[in-house]
Amino acid sequence: MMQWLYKLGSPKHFYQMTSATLKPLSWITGVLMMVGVVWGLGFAPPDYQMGDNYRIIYLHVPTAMGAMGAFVMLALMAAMYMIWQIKMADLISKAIAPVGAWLCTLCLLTGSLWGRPTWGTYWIWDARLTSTLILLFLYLGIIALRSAYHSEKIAAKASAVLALVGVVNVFVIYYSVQWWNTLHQGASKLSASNDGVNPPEIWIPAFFCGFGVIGLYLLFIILRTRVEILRHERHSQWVQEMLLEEADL
Amino acid sequence: MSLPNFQFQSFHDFLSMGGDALFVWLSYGLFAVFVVWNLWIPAANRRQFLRMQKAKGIGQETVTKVTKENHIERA
Repeated sequence: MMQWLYKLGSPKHFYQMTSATLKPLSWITGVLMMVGVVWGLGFAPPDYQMGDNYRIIYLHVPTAMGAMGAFVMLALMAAMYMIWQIKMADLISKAIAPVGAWLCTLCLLTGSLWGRPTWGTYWIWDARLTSTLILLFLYLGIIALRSAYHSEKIAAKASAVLALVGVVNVFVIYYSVQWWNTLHQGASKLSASNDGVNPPEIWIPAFFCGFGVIGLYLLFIILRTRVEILRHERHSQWVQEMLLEEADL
Repeated sequence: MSLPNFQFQSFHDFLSMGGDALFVWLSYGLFAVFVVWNLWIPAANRRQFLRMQKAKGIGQETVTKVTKENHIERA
């Protein structure tokens, strides 16, 4: 296990190991997403109050979890980079920031599109909505910091510090529905039987979408990180050899 | 749990999403944009990187001597 982690810390090994995972990961993700979306849109029963617009939740919840999870991972990578100076951690965090920003934007937009027919408003300055908007600004700030410095090292450190400080906000988002009186509902209780509030026929497709979004997240991070590795390691022998062979590039 | 049934009477019914078609389909549409964009961007960046490396001339200025020798051996 430690050796495996150690290997992932080397750009060359990360590149080679992910070459083999891309295809199966794409397939698994594609199937999970297709099943989740088709089931959620067409086969899950309508909500007795919200009707069909609740089907947006099948994307809203996974993207929300993704946006928060991505930030925690970003902070972990930032810590690894700051403490141990692992270059790979920085390359990965460079890839996480835009994907996390996308997930956060989608979470806000889908929430807004669900809020309009359900709450009667696209937006409200509710604790959870506001803290999620701050999360988006944090992502954008981290991306902006990257390009604000000429020195790559300073840019990497500055964005790492912002990620480490900003991760507090993830906990604020998570507990916001408990700490404050919010319009946004708390976590849904899932029941195992069909006579509960949220029966399996409602939440099983959500699980497919949830794991599908995790798959997409990993896939996008890997794809972006691989390009970062090529750029960063362009002078090294193994990249040059690959370029010469033009095989599996 | 029995197998789930299709919840709509007709395809038109499905598209209208109980009157909230705009909200539901816009959400799923935005999600589709996210997927396509994030597959396209790394692929485009990669192509750009390869083009730039080609323009610089692989095997001329950046390749180390060892790499060159290896290549000749293989050729």
